[in-house]
Amino acid sequence: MAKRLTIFYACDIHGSERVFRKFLKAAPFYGAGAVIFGGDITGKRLVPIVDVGPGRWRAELFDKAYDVESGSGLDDLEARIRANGFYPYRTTAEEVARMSADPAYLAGVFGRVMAETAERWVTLADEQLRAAGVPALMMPGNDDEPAVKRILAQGSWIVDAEDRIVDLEGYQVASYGYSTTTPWHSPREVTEEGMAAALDGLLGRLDASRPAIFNLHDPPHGSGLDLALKLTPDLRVVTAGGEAVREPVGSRAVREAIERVQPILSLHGHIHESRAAATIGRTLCLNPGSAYGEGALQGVLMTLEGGRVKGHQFVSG
Amino acid sequence: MAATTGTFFERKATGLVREAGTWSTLIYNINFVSIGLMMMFVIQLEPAFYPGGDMIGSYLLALLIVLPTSLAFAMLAAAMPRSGGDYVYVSRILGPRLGMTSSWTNTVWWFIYGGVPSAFLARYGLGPLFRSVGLITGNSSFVSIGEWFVTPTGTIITGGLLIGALVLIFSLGLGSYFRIQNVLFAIAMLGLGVVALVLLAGSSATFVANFNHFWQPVTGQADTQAAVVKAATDGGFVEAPRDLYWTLIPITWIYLELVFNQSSAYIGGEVKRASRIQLWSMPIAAIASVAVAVVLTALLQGVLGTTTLGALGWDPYLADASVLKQPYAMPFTEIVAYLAGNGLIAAILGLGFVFWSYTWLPGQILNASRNLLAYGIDGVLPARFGNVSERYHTPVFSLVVVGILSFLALVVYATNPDFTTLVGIVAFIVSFIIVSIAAILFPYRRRDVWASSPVAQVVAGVPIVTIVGVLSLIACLIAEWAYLSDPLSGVGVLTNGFFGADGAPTKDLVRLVVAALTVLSGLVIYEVSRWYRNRSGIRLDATFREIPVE
Repeated sequence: MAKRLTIFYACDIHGSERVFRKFLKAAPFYGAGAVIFGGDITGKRLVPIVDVGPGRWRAELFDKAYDVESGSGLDDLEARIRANGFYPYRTTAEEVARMSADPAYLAGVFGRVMAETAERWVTLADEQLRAAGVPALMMPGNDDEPAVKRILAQGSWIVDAEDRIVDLEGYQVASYGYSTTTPWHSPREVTEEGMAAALDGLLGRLDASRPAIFNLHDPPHGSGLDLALKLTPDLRVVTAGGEAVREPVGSRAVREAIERVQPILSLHGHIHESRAAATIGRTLCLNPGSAYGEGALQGVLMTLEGGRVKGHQFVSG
Repeated sequence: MAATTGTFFERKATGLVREAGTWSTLIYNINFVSIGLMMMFVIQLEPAFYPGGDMIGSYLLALLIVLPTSLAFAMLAAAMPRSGGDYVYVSRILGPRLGMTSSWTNTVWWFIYGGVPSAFLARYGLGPLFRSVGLITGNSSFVSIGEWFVTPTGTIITGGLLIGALVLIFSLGLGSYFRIQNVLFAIAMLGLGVVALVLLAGSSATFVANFNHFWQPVTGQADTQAAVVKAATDGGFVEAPRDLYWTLIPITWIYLELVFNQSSAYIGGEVKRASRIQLWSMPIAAIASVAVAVVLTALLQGVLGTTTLGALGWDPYLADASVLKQPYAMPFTEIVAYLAGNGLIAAILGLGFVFWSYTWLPGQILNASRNLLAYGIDGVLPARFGNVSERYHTPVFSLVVVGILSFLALVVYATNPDFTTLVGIVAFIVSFIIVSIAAILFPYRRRDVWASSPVAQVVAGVPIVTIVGVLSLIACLIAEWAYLSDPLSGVGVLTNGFFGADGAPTKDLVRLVVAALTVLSGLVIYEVSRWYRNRSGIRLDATFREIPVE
């Protein structure tokens, strides 16, 4: 533990294959000795690419229609869709109509595409991070369906760290990927009471004599890491004078846990637009934010030495 | 499972919000342009000091020169919708050194220009408001108050209070400020509407009669308007036939305001799906601002004529021969107030212009403090700059630093005539040039980001953003040439010379060198910071370097 350890942390890549591949390369690129992923690996949007005739496919991206041929044209279009964190889905006009009319069917398609992608990514991560010899702790976030946790747990090199205390070069890493309630009712949410209970159970397993690192998807309330866009009940952004109004939306239970346990480091995500560092007592809290939609991997490098944080650096790869 | 539009399907997940109000983004950009100040400079200065200049032509030329840069910012903002504007675009496309150089140039001039609109509040806002209402209603106390505002002491105290109030309000949170700002913007636009109505109803004869009546107690002359014209003519004021060169050169005063129609680039990332808003709100803000200015200036020119406008602009520079004995030319709203000849209308016009007089300042303080916050977070400046107050959720430390530096700039601007209004814009343009180059190279240096962005269109095999970048670069070079040629810009070395007859550098050259040093200072800060951070194992040059995927 006395030796210097550099950790790379990122989160909220939301289905962007380009950003995930960057995450896998980040450790050798930045000279990090370990990587931690803080949740929300899966995408939010599925873009149908409709078969419109022999060898021709049609899709729409950012209000622009694409009409491509099978082969490199279709491959390029799929890559462009994936780069934005969306899932390309080859389909027919009939199936698009069914997905539009039948939510249960759409959910099934979405779940299948997400699971297939997550499985492929876990395989990639196992191969590349094992080859690089980089320990990797990963967990699902609030936007990941329960199936994602099962897929991460199948990793042969990567470690599904959620709801566990995992040793990382002498540091205890406590991870939890759920968030408190959001206006979107995402797949993995708990109430503040539920968050407090879960964290009590998890953090009770820490060894007080060894330094701890929190890897909690939800940021602490009122820390500056949790400033999200203020929304109307119908999910419109509240603006004033042309500016979006922001408000703290983090978890009070997470904050209370940090104040009580005082880990050396507390890593968070969830609020993409709240890239920030703050200290709560003796704890350095970090949220690198997310810019997955632009193909950029936002992360933070932390240098630990002698059980303390020597420095940190936000990066945008 | 979530809704569908038929072209994509979304599931229930956080962050999927609806588009924010588009009008508010447009208003934000128009605010930063300040139609009032733009018109004030043109009307005060072009008829007086640019013989042959055509005000309407200057507006249109300035719009042509600003639009490509506006589009370059809009397209980059659409492709990379992150708060931080050029700091983000340039760092990602051209690297952190140029990103810091470009951004720091803006930041440092936002500090320095903090002294300008804060001085304008007294000089062109409150001073003329009290003076015009006082003269029209015969209230000498109001006239005296108006005269105090335009003294250096009055200017510094008033501007200092404004800076302090804005820093305090911004430190406590933005919500209440923007509600007030929207009301003030409405009053300011109402003021411009009243200007139009008064001009439509007025005549040259009415203006001359009213002006002479109201100013007679001050000047002691029965025909003050004629005396102003005569004194100006005796002092060197001339008029000339319309001339393209002298129509092009004073775009300097318009560009100063109009080019900041892209200010939402610094906040656009706050709003998801901001791309379309950015694409249209920036150029539309420029076009709308120029349209309003063209209509009102044409009306004013039609009623008063350029001779009277030119002489009024010339009068403050006549020293002892000045008829009106005012240190600064009056804003057009004050001229129109005399045409109206009514105290209430004068108050409405004056109050409206109070808003226009300082409207740059809030955005400057916010943008500069946000940049300091970003530098603090990225490690270029000490971490303290990156702190956000837990209580107020605002970067209080950075805001206070910006406030202090703005106040120092105000003191210098109010007391030292060598600090000319236009000196900093030559440095801003260097930043715009860097952004233009970033736009040109964007599809080639960040191909994947460009290809998956909403601006990935191509014409004749060339990306449109590259074409726009080239046009913007050319436009920036023309603008830079205009500033270096404008005898009034303070950096007009191409007209006023680099060295005087005694071989010493001209003040224009000294100011130009100072502006150039501010550009270089960003690079110096970056390199010093990089060296210092490297000692702690932190590699600043990695901050924006893209991780190769293949």
